[in-house]
Amino acid sequence: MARKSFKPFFRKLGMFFLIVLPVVLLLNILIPDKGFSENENRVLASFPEISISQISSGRTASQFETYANDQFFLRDFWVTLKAGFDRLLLKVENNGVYLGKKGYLIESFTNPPESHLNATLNAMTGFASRHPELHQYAVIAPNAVNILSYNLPAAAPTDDQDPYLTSVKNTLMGAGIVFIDLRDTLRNHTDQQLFYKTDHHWTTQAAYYAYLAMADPMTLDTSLLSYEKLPVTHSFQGTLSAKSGFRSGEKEDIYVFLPKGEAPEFVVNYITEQKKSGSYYATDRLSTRDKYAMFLDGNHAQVKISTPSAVGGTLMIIKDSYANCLIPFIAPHYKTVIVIDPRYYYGNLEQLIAAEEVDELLYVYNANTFFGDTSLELTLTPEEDA
Amino acid sequence: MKIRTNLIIKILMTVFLFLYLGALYLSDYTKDVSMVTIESYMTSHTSITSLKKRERRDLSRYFSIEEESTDGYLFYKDVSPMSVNEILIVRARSRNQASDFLRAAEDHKASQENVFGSYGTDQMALLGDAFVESKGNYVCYICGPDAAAWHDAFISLI
Amino acid sequence: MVFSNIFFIYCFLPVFLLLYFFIPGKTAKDIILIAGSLVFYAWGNPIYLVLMVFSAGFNYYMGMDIDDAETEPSRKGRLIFAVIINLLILCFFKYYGFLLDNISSLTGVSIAHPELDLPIGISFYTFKNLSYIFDVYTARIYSQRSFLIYGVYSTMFPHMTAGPIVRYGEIEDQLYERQISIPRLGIGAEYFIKGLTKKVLISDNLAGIYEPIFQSAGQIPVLTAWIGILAYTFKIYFDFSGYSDMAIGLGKMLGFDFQKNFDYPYISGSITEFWRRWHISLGSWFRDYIYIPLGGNRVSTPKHIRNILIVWALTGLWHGASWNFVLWGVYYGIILLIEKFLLANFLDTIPEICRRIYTFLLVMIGWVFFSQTSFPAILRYFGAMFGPGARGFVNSTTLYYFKTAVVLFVISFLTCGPGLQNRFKRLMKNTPLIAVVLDIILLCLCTASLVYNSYSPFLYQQF
Repeated sequence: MARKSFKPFFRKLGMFFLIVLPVVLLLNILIPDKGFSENENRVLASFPEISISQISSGRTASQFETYANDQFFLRDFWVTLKAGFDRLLLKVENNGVYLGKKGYLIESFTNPPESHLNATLNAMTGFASRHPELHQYAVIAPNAVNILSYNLPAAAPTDDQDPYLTSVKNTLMGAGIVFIDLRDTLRNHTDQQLFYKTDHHWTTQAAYYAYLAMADPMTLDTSLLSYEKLPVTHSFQGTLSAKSGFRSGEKEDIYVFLPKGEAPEFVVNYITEQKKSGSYYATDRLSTRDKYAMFLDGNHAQVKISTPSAVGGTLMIIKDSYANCLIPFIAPHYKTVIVIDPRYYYGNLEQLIAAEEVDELLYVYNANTFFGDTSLELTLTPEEDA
Repeated sequence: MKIRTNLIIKILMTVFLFLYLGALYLSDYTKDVSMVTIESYMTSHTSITSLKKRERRDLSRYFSIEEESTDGYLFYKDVSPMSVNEILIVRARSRNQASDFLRAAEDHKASQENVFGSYGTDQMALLGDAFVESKGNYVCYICGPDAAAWHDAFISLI
Repeated sequence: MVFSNIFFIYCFLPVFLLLYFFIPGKTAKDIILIAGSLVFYAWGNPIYLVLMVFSAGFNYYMGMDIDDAETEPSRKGRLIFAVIINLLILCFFKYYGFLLDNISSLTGVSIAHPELDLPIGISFYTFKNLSYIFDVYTARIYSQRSFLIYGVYSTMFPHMTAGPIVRYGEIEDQLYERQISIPRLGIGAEYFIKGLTKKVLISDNLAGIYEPIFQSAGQIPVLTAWIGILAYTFKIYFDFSGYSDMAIGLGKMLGFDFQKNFDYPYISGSITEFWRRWHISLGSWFRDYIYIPLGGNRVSTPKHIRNILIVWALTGLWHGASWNFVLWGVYYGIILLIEKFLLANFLDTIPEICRRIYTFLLVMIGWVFFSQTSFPAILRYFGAMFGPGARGFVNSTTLYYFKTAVVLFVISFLTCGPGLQNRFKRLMKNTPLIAVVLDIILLCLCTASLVYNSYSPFLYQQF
């Protein structure tokens, strides 16, 4: 008796199963594949190439599984549904990104391995002692996890950047490198938006405050130019939302600071790409997902900026992507600025410094990258004679 | 008569099992092919020459592997620093060393993913399909649009 | 291939089900089932297909061989031969590296050995085939003369990779004749969706809670350690039972009734009861094929104790080739002995709720042995749970973990007993449409999670 009364349910569910699964399969086959997911900022898997050796190693099987996932129909809808379900479970962390207050996505910080950091610091101090003739400055920008820690979910288990920043400061100062500590500067301006809500970068506004803080130690005359703040896009979706799946629909503004009035002309030369530009801003990047790349056209191994400045000498900036929106403020003060990204630059730094007659050296990093970085050490360490 | 057939079948099954397990056990075994042979084959039969041949400094720089410690290696990497196309085949002197090299190759992949993670989506797709494997004393790291072909060519040699 | 995977649910399963449903004839269906199972098995690691087919063929032959033996000594000889070969295969893949590592750490001679991947489900199908061999030997069943039918039993994909360890006798009738219908498919779908939900929505999310806690085990306060192990306790239940439910559901779709493998173990009032409710097919396997042949409890007390300890050490070892699993098994062996000889009467006198708490706490402590793979890690975790190795009793991070876990804990708490499921059953009867819609919603949420995660690895497969 009891069994009988379950029957309508089982019949309905059985029909559903038998019809819907093949229909979904058919849909997945019929709907054309997508190459790129804007939402997740990554290339989606395409139909695997089939070869005997790949099948026998099981690689084809896993490629098929990834393919079935990546090309599942309405993928974005499912991803959004999953994110909504996570919210219901009160989940506030995904892939090392916290869903913070006031709409901020904040990348967590974990204590870096001492060995990496020590190797980097040794390389920097060693380099400083080999080059007493160069004025050297270091800007290690604290991240949102430090400056906006009050926006983290309550009691989120993330480590503190402060002791590391202080220890780096002391080490570098001891070696004669001027450490420009931005912590107080940035903390005094938290009424402004200093970090993107969906991206790990700082905003142009924060970079401007950094520039003001650098003016004194680097003897830059900030009255040289005055700036006005202009939005260049309203639809920036940062990497943190792609990484975490949180706030995947959120769009925000990117501002640039343009000099008021007539500004001197300059040339930005992307050395490895052999490409020149008359602007710091690659506006074509605004039509792509990675809109932050509009600053100095994203990441490049070596960029040379030549300005008509009569006063400044040659500055070398060794940096990560945080510097990209800061450089437009710094560059007008120098005749030549050589920008090096050690993550991609594999040339001989010593030769470059000699050839370009570099006068000053500036390190610009954000703390998260700096503490985990291994490429800076490699770039600064002189080549042994093989 | 019946008994004897049974016995033969059982012996055959056991022999088959041992052969199969033995083959599996030796599947990690590789032919003794010198790196010179591998390199000459790879350069003449695959497109790895579109990359630039690299020497000891680069080996130590990207993989933290010292040339002296290896039993030969082949390392080609794209000229452009913004490219992730590269192939490393290195021969270790022992199994233990091979697992160290494999770890170094995995570290290199992780670091590449870190470097290209936030913006280089094409590079990330290639890295996702990269081969990082060890077989016997050989370890390979192969990344690029032709990675599968390079990998097949390499595996066919050993 | 695993069940909780987009490719399985939306590619393999629909194609397989359509073929299985609409191609008529039992022999054809048997062939489709075997072919599908082989594809399923070969998917990730094709070289082990040979092993799987060998194992089926070998045990098929040995079953007949034992049955055909004319004298008892020759029956026994054939049994021993079959058992040795089966165990040899299992040990070669699963315990060989473990053995060599132990030998080298005892003798100080390091023995290099290649690391072979564990064939998926080897522990499960070896035990399944062994149960068949034992049952033929003890004349509980007749040996199967048709290779096709034995092949269906031996390779059938629903229970092949992760249990339950289905006995031949349980499904013998269905191997000859089985009902395939839409309502039975519906019963299967109901099991499958519930199992998938347990695995994907609950278990996988719980993993996100205990993982960071386990990683920082040396520097956590007492309460955080308990939150971690509680999350693990729930996770492992939902993982295992979810997978069993999916297997049972797939079996039902194909016309097979497997017995239930988990019967709400966390509401048990004693450890003895817990093991009657937890992984039932494994427990009964060890009972029927090891414990009872050793004499069970019909021997002198010292031998009885020995039997229990042997069975539990082996149960532990079955879960993985590592000492912590042995320790975990022996831990249960000892508690069962204590319950049997010391606590039997006492437990009956205390209220139900106290017995349940007592059981649950002991089970949680047991999972520490299970989850921490080395002795120092086990000690460190106990240190954190009971004070000596803890950083205080509670800190602000505890609050964070509690906050992010609380919803899952409530859901886990509600679903690890029969209450919610009984409610759903009433709904199935009274308002079937609403129940179907609820199942569809769960399936959608699981699909969303699977699409997002790209892939969710399954714990049980390594056993």
